[in-house]
This record gives sequence, C-alpha cells and structure tokens, in this order.
Amino acid sequence: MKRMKIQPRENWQTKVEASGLLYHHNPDGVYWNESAYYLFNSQQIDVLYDAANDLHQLAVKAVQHVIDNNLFTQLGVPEEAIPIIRKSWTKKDPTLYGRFDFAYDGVNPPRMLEYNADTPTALLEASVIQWFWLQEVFGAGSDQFNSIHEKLLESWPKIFRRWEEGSKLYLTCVADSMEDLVTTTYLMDTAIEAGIKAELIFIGDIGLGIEPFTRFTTLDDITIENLFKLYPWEWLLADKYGQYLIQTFDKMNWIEPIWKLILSSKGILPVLWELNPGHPNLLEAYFDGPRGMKEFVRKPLLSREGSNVTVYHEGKEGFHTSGTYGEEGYIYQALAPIPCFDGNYPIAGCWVIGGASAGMGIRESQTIVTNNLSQFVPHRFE
Amino acid sequence: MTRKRRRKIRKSHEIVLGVALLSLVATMTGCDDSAHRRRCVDKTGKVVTEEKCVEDEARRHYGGVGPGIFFWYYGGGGYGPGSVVSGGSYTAPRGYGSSGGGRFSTSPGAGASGGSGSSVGGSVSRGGFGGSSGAHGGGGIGG
Repeated sequence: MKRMKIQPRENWQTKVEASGLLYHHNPDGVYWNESAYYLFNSQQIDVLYDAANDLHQLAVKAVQHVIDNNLFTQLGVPEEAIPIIRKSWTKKDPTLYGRFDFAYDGVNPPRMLEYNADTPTALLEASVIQWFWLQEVFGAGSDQFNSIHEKLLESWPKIFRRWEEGSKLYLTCVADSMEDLVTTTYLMDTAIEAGIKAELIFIGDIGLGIEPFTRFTTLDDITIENLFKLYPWEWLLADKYGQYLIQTFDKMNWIEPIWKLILSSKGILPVLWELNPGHPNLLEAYFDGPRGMKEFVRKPLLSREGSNVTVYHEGKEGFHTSGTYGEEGYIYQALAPIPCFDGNYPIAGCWVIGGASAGMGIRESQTIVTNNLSQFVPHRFE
Repeated sequence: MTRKRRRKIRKSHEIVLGVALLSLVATMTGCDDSAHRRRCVDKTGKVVTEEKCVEDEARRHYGGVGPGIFFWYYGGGGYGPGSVVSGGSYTAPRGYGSSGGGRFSTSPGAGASGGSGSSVGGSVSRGGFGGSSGAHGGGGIGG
C-alpha cells in the first residue's frame, strides 16, 4: 500500500461534476483529491475484501445476540424502536448497503473502526467517480476494488421482489445537503436501471395522514409503501412524526431496515469484541470504561461525521472533536493504528452491498479522526 | 484459514449514469449551490427558522385565514439567522428539487409527478420529519 502523487487531470472539476460529484469542494477546500492515489497489490485487496465479508457476517450474528439478550438500552436504541426492530429482524427485512471503516496499513490486518450501516455516504465517489478517474488516467487494463455499481443493480431487484408487485419506491433525504441529494439521486437511478419505479421526495415534504388510516404520503397524497431514507433511524424516531412509525410499520418497507439501527450504534463495537475477543479485524472495545487501555478513543453511541470523539494517549485526554452527540452514552475503543502517509491518515471505507463485499473508497484526514471534511482519494491495485 | 481466490473486482460493463443524476447536474452546474438553497424569511426579509415556514404553510393549508407571514426565499445573499436577504427570489428556481422530486407545497397534488397509487383522501400534515437534522447542525448526514 503506497500513497502516490500524481498530476490531477486538466479540468478535473468539470469532469467530476459532469458525473455527478457536485461537492468536489467543501468549506475546508478540496474534497475530491486526485493529486494522489493509493496503490495496492491484489493480496491486500483480497484481505480487505475478506475482512468486509467476514465482519458483515459477524455483525449479523451480533444483531441476533443483541436481540436475544435485550441489549437495546445499552446500545442507546430508543425504547419505542424495540418492538419494530424485533419485527423487522424476524421478517428478515433486506438490507441494501453499508460501509465498514477500516484502519489499514497494507501489512497488518484491517481493523474495524466502525460500521456505517444505516446511512453511509461517499457512495457516488467510490462507485462512479473514482472508476471514471481510473479509466481515464490508467486505461482500460487497470483495476480497482470496485463493483459497487453492479452490486447495487443486482441488489435492488432482490429487495423489491419481496414487496408488492408494481409498487413504487420513494427515496428521501434532507433538502439542504447537496451530498445527500446526489447520493439519493444516484441510488434512485440505480433502482430505476434495475427496473423499479422510483421517485425522490425530500424528507420535510413527507406527509402524515391519519384518516381513514395512518400513513405517510407523497406531495400527491399517495401512500408511501416503500421508502429508502438517507436519514438516520434515530432521527426519524426523534422527529415529530416518529410516533407514527410504529402504526405504519406493518404497511411499509424501509431501506435500510430498522434493525440496522443496532449496527449503526457504536455499541455494536463492544458487543462484537465480547463475542469475538481477539479477532484480528476488531479493536478491543468496552461499554463501561477503558479497562486499563492507555491508548483509546471514547465515541458516542449514536454519532456521525466523527463528532464528539475524544482521543486518549497514555490514559490522558489528547484531543477531541466537537459536535452535538453523546446524550445516549459512550463506548471505549482501543486506538487504531492508522498509518500516516505524507502527513495524511487514510481510512479504507469498504462497501457491503446486498450483504456482500463490493468495493472501497478511501478518505484521508490530517488527524486520526475522519470527519465529513476529510478528502476522498482514489485508488487502484495491480 | 486459507484464502484462495482472487477478487477481480471490475468490471463487466460500463457505468451508465442515470437520467435523474444527469438532470440534477444540468440543473446545478454553473450555479452555486447557495443559489438554490432556500431559507425561511419573515415579511421584512429577515431569516428565521425553517419551522416557521412549515407551520405557516400548514396553517394556510388547513384553512387558516389571512396571507402568509413567513416565506421561502431562494438564491441571493443573506443566509444566517437574523440576516436580511437580497438579490434572490421568492420563487423556487426552475428545477429546484424537481430532478429529485419533491418540494414544499401548500396544496396536496401540486407538483410531484404521479405515483403508482392513488390518494385515499383525508387531511394530511407535513413537516414532521427532518427536524433532527437541524438539531444536529442541519445539512446532511455525512459519514
């Protein structure tokens, strides 16, 4: 694994925009960074591929463990969600996607930092943008750990065949995030290409009808039966309409399913460690404290974008990130050995689509905590 | 644990970008994101919380009397709470949200393209999802 410097393409901004990456810059500067790329060998890609597959299987077993042992409160899962999580799990509600974030140096086993199982983003850049970059810069014979697009196309019909024939898929996100709008629109296109009728509705536009029966509706007051949401379950539950999720649950299909709330909680990390102590792809993690670890991080149970993370060195607080999370409690995880390349700390985001390992996107930061401003850097392998 | 096979990960066919994404690109390219970002303002043009517009829409929708007192404003300058907007419009730019479907509407049936079902009637309220995003600083979910 190497970080290679390379000349960005002429007019790269125009090129990535034309493929949908309208957020190639963020308030900190460049987000899509093609002045470098990461080079892997195929054995390293195999290691990452296997780690994502293996950990997804372990994660699914961990969900069963949480449900069997009623560990919801420990994971910060809202009480009102528990009955519908149980239902969703019993029904085997299908999943579309998720993304493991790994610390990986190319030598030692990848270590799972977390599983973005409910609302992963950085999807279009991993699936499409870096592939187009690879083709243009390195030609048709080059390779990349990336079958994300194809696996999305394969997965939608498998999901949809469980739903009512001819019904429509709605996809929703907030209206004021270009990244979320692009991600949701891209996913809608993959659903349409897979033969599914689909339409996007902003989350604030979803209506609630009470009579003659409780339902969520489109702007045309069409009852929504199938909904993909790029919006966290814990937020849905906390919103004003959250109380109606239970009443409508039996009449709706959700992507991601609500059982994914268990996996998107950082509480799954100590559960995984308890069930698989010493697993080479896991980091030591606990609910009740660092238990003697000197180098560790404290993470909120429910959080995003690297917010409210505190890093401890020698048992003392090093630095922390700001944010609005932490109300539900924290977990303590061993500090991952994130490699440093020219002052950059890369995280390998390995995608799981339809339950199978599908590809990778790398984001790098100038600190060991990846956040929503971290740069996306393409990769290839040979 | 033996690991055998190679993962040739790519690629049986070309990626063909979908119409919706290309439409979104066409709408947005050449325009600053902020040119399309809306915010809620009062009658003096002062930026207030989005909730006020949502509540005002709901009030009018359910037969509340009198004109609206809060309005959506698009483009131009002035985004922070309390600032005064200028240079933009009270009308959504063409394509605002439409490549991706929804937009706020005060009347059921306005706007969105037809679904596969039919309306079941009865009153419908809106704006009850999305509030937690604001509670966490607004914007998207990142991650």
